[in-house]
Amino acid sequence: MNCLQAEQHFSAHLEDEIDYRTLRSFEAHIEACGECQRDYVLFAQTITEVEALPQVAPSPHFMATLHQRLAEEPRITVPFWKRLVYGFTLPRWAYGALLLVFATTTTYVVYQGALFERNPGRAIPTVEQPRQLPAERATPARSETRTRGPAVPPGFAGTSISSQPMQHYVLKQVSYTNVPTQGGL
Amino acid sequence: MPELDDELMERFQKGDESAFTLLVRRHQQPLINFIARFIGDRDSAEDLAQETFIRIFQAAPRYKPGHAQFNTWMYHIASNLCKNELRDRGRRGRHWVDNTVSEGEPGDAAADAENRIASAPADVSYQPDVVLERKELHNALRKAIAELPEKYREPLVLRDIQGLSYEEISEVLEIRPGTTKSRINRARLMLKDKLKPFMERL
Ligand SMILES: [Zn+2]
Repeated sequence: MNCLQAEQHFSAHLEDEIDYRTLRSFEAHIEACGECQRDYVLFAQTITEVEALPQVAPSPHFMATLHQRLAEEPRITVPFWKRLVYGFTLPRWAYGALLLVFATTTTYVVYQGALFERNPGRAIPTVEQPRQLPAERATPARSETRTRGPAVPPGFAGTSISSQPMQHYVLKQVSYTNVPTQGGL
Repeated sequence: MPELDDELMERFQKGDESAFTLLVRRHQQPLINFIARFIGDRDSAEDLAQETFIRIFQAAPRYKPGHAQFNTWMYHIASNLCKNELRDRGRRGRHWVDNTVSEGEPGDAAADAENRIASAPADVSYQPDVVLERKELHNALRKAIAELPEKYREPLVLRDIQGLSYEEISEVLEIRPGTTKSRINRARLMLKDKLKPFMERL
């Protein structure tokens, strides 16, 4: 490697981006050549000085002038529906969480619906045959209260409301899905 | 954690202008510094930086987040504006005048820093000769950078003053990374030769 070739690798050597073979011949030349040694040191000092140059900062009225100039520019037009959607901005994880809750609820409802369509009598207790614990049978007052529950709409005879909230919910689901077949549509 | 440039651009694309203001606040200083060092003119640097932000404002609807880095896109626009300005100056026959140091002017970090050095109180480390020599060196350095041919000056400023990576500079200038590296090395060698008399005195 000669002096001209050596100086082509100053930056690469300084920034540790030199391949091993070139590194060996470069360092061999630098060790032997006093002029390249001095030049290499000056080269590194020059970069340090350039990096240390004071920064040119914006003047205090830069922002105000820019805003004035921008006032004449046409604005970005966003369609109304996009504004509606974007106006309601949540972090990405929140959209994910909402989607998960929606998917879980939908799956649950569909699953329950399918279950009762296959076996309609399974979890639908009637007034005539209420599911009662032995202890409850002994207390007629409580049983009476239960039959006084929400009124059953006409056309829903044979089904009734249980005292247990979950069964009540399921009952409503099944009853309403049965309407079309009962109505002969 | 501060929002990424792309996130701010997305917000701006949805009509939120405060996101654009944030982008300007974030990039105004480095952009003005780049332009000032590239064209060697502080006043025009402000004007060209504003023009760059206006171009960004106009082109924002077409910007694709994640496609290119906002930073390199901004420097690319500024670089083209600077080259046009230099071409116009060449046609008008205007000579280069280094006015990147306007002493005493508020808001000029370069001048402020130089003035701070010049008005430093007398202490053990304060040596007028050294301060003067450093000031001379800075002036010589600015002049030497401005005298570099454009195709060497620009990558040098982007690398050693703005701190961009070789890949980013290649994107800004639309040249191959190998070309970027060799131009920067060449620019540094030219600067070293120009500054030799100053550096050897220090
Ligand atoms: Zn040599």
